[in-house]
Amino acid sequence: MNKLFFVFVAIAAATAGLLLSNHLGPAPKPVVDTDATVFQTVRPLPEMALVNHLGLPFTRQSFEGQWTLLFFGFTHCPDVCPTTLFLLSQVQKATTDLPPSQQPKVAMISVDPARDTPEKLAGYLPHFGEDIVGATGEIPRIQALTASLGVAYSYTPDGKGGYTVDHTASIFLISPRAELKALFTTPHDLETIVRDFEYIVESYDD
Amino acid sequence: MMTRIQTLMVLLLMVIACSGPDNTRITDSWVRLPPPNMQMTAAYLLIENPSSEGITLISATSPSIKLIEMHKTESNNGVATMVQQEQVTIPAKGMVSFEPGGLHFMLIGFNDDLTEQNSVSLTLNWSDGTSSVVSAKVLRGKP
Repeated sequence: MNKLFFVFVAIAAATAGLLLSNHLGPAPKPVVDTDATVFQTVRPLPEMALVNHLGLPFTRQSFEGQWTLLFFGFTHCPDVCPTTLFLLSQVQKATTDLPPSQQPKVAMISVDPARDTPEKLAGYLPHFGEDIVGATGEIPRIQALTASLGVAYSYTPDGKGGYTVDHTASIFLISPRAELKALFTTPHDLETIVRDFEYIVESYDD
Repeated sequence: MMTRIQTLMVLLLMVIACSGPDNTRITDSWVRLPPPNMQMTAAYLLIENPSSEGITLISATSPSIKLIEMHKTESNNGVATMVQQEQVTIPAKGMVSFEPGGLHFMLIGFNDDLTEQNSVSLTLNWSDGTSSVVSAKVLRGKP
């Protein structure tokens, strides 16, 4: 008898739930708890006058029209930069099923322009992906961009007559309107970045 | 009949054999394929120490590499910094992973061309005077 009563209550509850959900309309899109910091306010990139790895101008407009995963690094970097560039090329491979307008470009801006000439970047970046864009320029011009994004970098002697560069290893997601949309901090994980990236681009109003 | 000295020496040898890295397991070794014209890359591996004594790695060498240093990438407020490690201790019954974004062997200057799928011989030198030789495959990214 008791058992029958509970079955009845369960059916009634389920029916009520169904009616209620119909009344409320379709369920809202689930809010994904992203690992990335997603900016709801508009944060336009500043104007910039850099040069890309092909020797062509690299400006704010270079970001327009596609999503860009932006990283700051340098070519004389044994661990963090190759690891991140390889990871970003993996993100590109994992998102090839998205519409072309949602597939990310990858860009690395050098924080070591003294060594990273456009030619140096042109020899370095294709190793990680044919379409990775590199940019470099005079320190004050790079400084203007890094300051606006909160990127820190400094030069440390390596004890062998050279130097290494300490730098922010975050990945910045730039929208097709050249605005900072999200920030991925270290440690970087492929699945997490792909998941968050897809969520962000799919819920973006363009 | 062994003299006391001989007995002591045998005991000492036994101690060395036990505390040495004989049981040390080194796996997952690989070298990141360097981009063209770059004389720098990194090697990674996992060291397991099943013994009841800690073991200490003091250096690494390779006939293919001019200089190998041990470094650790540390993150301070998101800023990645490389900190050179004079030695790395693998605790008793513990393991230490050299992996991207963390501990790594920095390979500086190459005597041989490092090509994909080829192997690089790495010798790990321990504080007890012994060494371990591993063969690390050259790969584009973590396997």
